[in-house]
Amino acid sequence: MRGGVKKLSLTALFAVLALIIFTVEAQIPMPFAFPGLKLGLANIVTLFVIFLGGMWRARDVFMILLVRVLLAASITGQVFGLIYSFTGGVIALVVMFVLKTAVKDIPIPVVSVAGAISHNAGQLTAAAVILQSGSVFVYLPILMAGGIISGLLTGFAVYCVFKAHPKFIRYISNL
Amino acid sequence: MNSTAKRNFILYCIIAALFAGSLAVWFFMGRVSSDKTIAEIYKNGTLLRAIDLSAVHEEYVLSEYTAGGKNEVLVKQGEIGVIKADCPDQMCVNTGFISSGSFIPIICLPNRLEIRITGVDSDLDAIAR
Amino acid sequence: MKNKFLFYAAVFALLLLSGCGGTQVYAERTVFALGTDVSVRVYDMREKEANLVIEKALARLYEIEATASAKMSESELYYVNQNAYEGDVFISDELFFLLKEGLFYSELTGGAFDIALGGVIELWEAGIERGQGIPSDDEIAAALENSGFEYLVLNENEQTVRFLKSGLKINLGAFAKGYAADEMKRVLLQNGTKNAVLNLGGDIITIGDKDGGGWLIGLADPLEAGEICAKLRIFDQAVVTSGNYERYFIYENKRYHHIIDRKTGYPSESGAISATIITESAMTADALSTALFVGGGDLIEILSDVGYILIEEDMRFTFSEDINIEFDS
Repeated sequence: MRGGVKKLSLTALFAVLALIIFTVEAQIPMPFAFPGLKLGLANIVTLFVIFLGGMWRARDVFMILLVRVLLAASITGQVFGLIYSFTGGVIALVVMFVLKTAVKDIPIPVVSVAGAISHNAGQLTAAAVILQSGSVFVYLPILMAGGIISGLLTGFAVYCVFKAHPKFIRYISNL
Repeated sequence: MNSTAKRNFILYCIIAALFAGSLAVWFFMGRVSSDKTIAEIYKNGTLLRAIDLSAVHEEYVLSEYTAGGKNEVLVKQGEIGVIKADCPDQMCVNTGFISSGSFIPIICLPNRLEIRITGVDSDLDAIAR
Repeated sequence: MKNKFLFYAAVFALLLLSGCGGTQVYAERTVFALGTDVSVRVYDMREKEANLVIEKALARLYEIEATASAKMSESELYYVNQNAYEGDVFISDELFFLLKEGLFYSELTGGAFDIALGGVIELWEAGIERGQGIPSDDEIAAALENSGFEYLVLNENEQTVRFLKSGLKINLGAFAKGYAADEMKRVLLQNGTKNAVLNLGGDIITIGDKDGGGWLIGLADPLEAGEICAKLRIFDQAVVTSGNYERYFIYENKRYHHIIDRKTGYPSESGAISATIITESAMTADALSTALFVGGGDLIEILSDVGYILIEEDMRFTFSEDINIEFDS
């Protein structure tokens, strides 16, 4: 991996951060039926790294997601829930990257909202395929609304971090 | 304002509209009951398949092959059962059909096949019967 | 440096969090034994270890099945039933213990729970399992003549058993399940299990208190199949229910369930539709829940040391004060 050990350890750090957020999020009971349904708060890390830019490529962000999903699977032993969130995470990743590259100076919260919505849509689709039923899509409206809220919140949080620590951001985006 | 700021403003408006729209749709649809009749089929203790029985419109037969043998599972709307099996004790066939709320699973021990309904109150650790 | 601090903070937080939600992680296995589905769920243990421990518990279960199964023709009990009228039959420690305990509860409950009703039970099972209608009064009278725990003699010194009547048959029924549950719990405890739930065809026994709040056990509604009529919170205890809704058959518009009253030779008609006992031992709970079901309200006076719930025909609940029971709206 280009960037050497520092990049490697930062990648690991990001993966762990995402894992922590994921674990905390898992404690929040979701009232709906299928296991693994999450708010998608862990996307905050994906979002952050995407906007770091510099030496951080799509491949690196994907790696962070993958490591987090694998770690979470081995800790909780719940493979099924992870399939849903991995699908959501990958789709969100692609959407967010495309938006960031295609639209100049796009506000972070907008990308974040797009990411959250696609994360949830991804999860629903994965569930529909596994359960062999389209009935899960009844949850789409509420997940959209929830995704918009969480997207705005995480987007704003990342925006604040970037604003408040420009030197640090510069430091870790291009080791 | 300049064009970037205008564009951003429009983007945020779209988001707000989407938000209001989805909330409206959600409440118009009414609260969806989270009662689901999902049948889980386990082979050798691992989840093989999950079927939403309430979404089944036409009944069909699944042939589940395992190391031990073969079980024919009939999937209907709201129920599931083993109709034919090559195991010696036929307990799985005798259990009959299970449906929403059944906390009795269908088990074919020789073929290591198990079918159970989830969606029962997940708060509970077990049900005494 | 900021990086290091962040990193260590992350690791520390992760360690902390892996402790939380520990009881959500469990290993579970379900098998078929003693005529029903048996599932073992062990919490707070790494999967490999948990599976090993569960294996040991299951091995114990199969041992008990080989001793006490009424149906398996290779079981020790089956042999005893065929031969104990001819003369004393030497039996294993395990079976002797089971019969001794069984006799104890049979006496304690005045026969409301009786391990020697196999002959009568078989007549009715023909109806349940083979659709052969109900037995005649003569058949029942004949079977009753040869049934009853008082015709079962155990010799402690020789460790033998003898029947005083030729048609006597021991049927441990759910009692063997309760015993198996207790034994499986003992094996799990011996192997370091701190939190677990065992479910033997609806007989529940637990280890530990889950996450401090106890185990939430649903009580099957005797009138509405698939519904719960109450919830119980238990700590390290067993819950066993006897009901008229699990095994029964319908003949000429009347429902015949599987719990026989030795006074009549017929399925009991005490007015009870569900009887539940909560106590440390599942074996005790099994014996007493059967007795409570057969004896109804009158039997409550011997239940001073256990928790009980009696549900009668009109869904009237009578329960002991010391149990933790919740009803929904």
